[in-house]
Amino acid sequence: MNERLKESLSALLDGEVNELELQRILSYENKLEVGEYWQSYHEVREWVRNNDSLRVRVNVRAEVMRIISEELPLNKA
Amino acid sequence: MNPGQFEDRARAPTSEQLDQKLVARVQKGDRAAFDLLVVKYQNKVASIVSRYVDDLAEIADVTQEVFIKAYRAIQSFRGESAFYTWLFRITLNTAKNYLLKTRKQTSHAYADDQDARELIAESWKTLDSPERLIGRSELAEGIQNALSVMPEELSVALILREFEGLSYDEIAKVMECPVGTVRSRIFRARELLDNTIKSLTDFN
Repeated sequence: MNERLKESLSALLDGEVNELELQRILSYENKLEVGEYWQSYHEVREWVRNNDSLRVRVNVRAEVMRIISEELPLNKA
Repeated sequence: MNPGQFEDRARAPTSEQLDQKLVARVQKGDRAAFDLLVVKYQNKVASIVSRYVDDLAEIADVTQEVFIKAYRAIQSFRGESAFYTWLFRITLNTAKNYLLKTRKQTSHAYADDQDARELIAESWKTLDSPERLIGRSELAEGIQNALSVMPEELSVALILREFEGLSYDEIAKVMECPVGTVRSRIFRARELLDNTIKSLTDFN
């Protein structure tokens, strides 16, 4: 992933992207990579804020996305 | 800097507003938007689940079930409450049901009509073992250290965002630089901290 897109993800964490930029992030081909950086920035936020939410760390996204990808898209269900 | 001195200024777009945006996209069939919500909340959901269930594999299973349920029900989400509040309710119900189900399977001593609250109270667990706490303490210290040694313009931008809750536009005014520079500084600060976290967790 290029630096520009990673910077966009960081800005998305702060709600500082416009619709076009959000679209660019969501349509990026390598969803796994997007999710990994997105998760990293969230973890950085949690640590900086010294939050309690990281008392347990799990990674269920791959399995969740696999299951929902087998279902009809919501707008067609 | 005096904490709260920016209270009267415009706040950054909230996490809730971003969630609403993503939920609207999911409701239109955009699964990638749901992926971002899963990543954003999976550790928070797991943390709640861990109050009821102490096995890590089971925590992951219940967390997964929460998101599947949320996805299937998301068309009914109308935004009357925050997405996280809605997800929190699903999490509590799923964890409670899981607890009742597994207790029934593993112990005949429990009557079918046993109060769920009693079961939950008995199962309230903490995963903060001494080893885990030491690891967290080292990481927290590493983060604070990394913040103090990184270029000041990076740490100040990040602190104004994370602790003062300022928008990029407001930070640009405070730091007397373009908004694009703020955005870049915050990104670079996060990258440095991410590297710190990775190096500390790899070492451990």
